[in-house]
Amino acid sequence: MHRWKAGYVNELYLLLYRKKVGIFGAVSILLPVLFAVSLQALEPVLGLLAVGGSFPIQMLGFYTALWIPLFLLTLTGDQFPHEVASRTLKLAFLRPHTRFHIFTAKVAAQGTAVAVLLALLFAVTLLCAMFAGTPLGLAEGLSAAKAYAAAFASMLALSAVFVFAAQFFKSASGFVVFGIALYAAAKLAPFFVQSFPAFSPVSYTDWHLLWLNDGVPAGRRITASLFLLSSSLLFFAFGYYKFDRKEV
Amino acid sequence: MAGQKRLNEPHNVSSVADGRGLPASTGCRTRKEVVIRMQPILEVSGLTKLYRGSRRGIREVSLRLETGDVYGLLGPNGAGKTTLLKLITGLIRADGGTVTLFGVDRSLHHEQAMANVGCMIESADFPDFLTAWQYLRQSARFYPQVTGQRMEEVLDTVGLLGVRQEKIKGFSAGMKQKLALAAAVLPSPKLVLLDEPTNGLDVEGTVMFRSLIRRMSAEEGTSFLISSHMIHELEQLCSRAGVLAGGSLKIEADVSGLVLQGGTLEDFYMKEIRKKGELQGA
Repeated sequence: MHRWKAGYVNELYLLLYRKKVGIFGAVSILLPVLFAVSLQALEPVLGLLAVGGSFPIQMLGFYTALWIPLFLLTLTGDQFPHEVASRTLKLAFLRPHTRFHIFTAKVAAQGTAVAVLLALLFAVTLLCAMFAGTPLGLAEGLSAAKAYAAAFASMLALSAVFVFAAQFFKSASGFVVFGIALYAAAKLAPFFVQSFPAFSPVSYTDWHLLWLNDGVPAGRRITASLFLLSSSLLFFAFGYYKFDRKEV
Repeated sequence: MAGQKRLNEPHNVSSVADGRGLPASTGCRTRKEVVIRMQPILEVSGLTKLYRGSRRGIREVSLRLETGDVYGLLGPNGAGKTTLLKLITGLIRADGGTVTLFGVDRSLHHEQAMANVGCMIESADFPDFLTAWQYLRQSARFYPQVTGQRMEEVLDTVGLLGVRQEKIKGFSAGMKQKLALAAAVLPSPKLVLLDEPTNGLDVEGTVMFRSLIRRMSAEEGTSFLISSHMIHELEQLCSRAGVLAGGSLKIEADVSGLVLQGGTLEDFYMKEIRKKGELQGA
C-alpha cells in the first residue's frame, strides 16, 4: 500500500508542478468573480437580479459543460500520451510498482484534481453571491453542495471515457484535438439520434440538476447513478487493459 | 572483485547444506556436504522478442548474474541490447522465456522482483519541469529507507549537489545522464541495469562512474549489467562480458581471464563479430 500511496503522491506533485494546472486553477477562481462583477455591472440594464442564490448552480452548469471537460482533457493528455511521447512513462514502469497501481494512482490524482477544482469553485461562487448581497441560506447551501458532489460523479465518468481514449494516442496534442471533437460530437449526437443520451456518459454532464429538484423520482436518480457508475467502471477497465499492454 | 570467476568455471558455488555457511576447508563437516546452486540475482532463460514487421529482436537469450558480478553486454547497433534490458525490466513484453530477479518471476510479481533493482534504460528522460531534487524525491518515495541525507549523498557523488534546486530543463545531456545514474543507485539496489551509461559524460563524469561501480560492487556486493559500446571502459570494469549479435547471445567470457591470457576485450569482441559475419557470408 505504501507504494500505491507513493505513486499517488508523485502523480499529485506532477500535476501541481505543471504550469498549466496552476493556470487552470487560477482562471477557475477568477472566472466566477469576473462573471459576478460583469453581471453586477449589467444589472441596471438587465433589470434583473444578476447574481442571486442560484449563482453557484449557474456557474456549475458552465463548468461541467465546458471548463472541467477541457481541464480533464488537458490532464489526461499530460498523464498518458504526453508521458509516452516524452518517454517519462518508463520512469514509473521501472519502479517497484505494478501497472495497475500506476494506472489507479493516475486516475485517483485526476479525481482529486477535479474534486479540488469543484470545491474551489463552490467556495468562490458562494463568496460571490455573498458579496453581491444575496448570501445562500443553509438549505440552499446544502442543496448546492449536493449538486457539486453529484457533478463530481459525472465528471469522473467523463474522465473514464477520456482516459480510455487516451490509451490510443502517442501525442498529447493529437489526443486533445480528438477529445474536443469527440466531446462536441457526443454533445451534438442527441439532435440526430434521440436514444443516444441513454448510452452516453457525456450526456450526463448536467445530471447535478436532478439532485436539486426534490420532485424527481428516486428510481430515476438510482438508474442514472448506476449508469454513471457502470460506465465509469467499464471505461476505466478498458483503459487499464490497454495501459497494461503498453510497450515503452 | 567479488563474484569474479575464471574462464569456463561453472556458475556454481560450494555451500553447506546445514546452512551454517562455513567454508569448505574447515573440515568439520561430514560427507553429507552437498553442492547447491547459489540463488542468482538475475536469471534470464530463453528470452525471445521479435518486433512485428522486422527481423529485429532477440532470440532464446539466457544469462545469469550473481552477487557482485559486473557483466558487460556488447554488440553492434541493433543487436538487441536495449531490447534485452527492456524485457528484463518489463518495459516490453516477451514472446517467450522467463526473467527471474532474486528468485522471483518478474512477469508475475513485478513489484517484489523490482524492489532491489536500479535502472537506467535508453536515454535519460525526465519530467523536465521538476528540479533534480524533486525528481529524486519522486524516486525516494518508493523506498522508505531512503533519507534526505542519502539523496544529498548520491547527488554529491555524481556532482549535482550544487544544482539540485535547478530545473532539469536547463541540464545538459551529461548532467541528465548523471541524474539518471543517481536515481538508479539511490535506493542502494542489489542489481543495477545500465544502458549506455557513459553517453554524454565528460571525463570527470566517466571517472566518477567507474569508481562508483567499482566501489558498489566491491563494498556492497552490488551486481551490474551494463550495455555499452565503450569497450575499454567495460574492460576495466567488468568481471564478465557477453556478445549479443543478430539477436542472440553469441558467447560469454571472463574478462580478467582474457586479460591474463594477454588478450583484450576488443580482440575478443572483434573475433566474435567477424565469426558472425563469416557465417552470414557463407
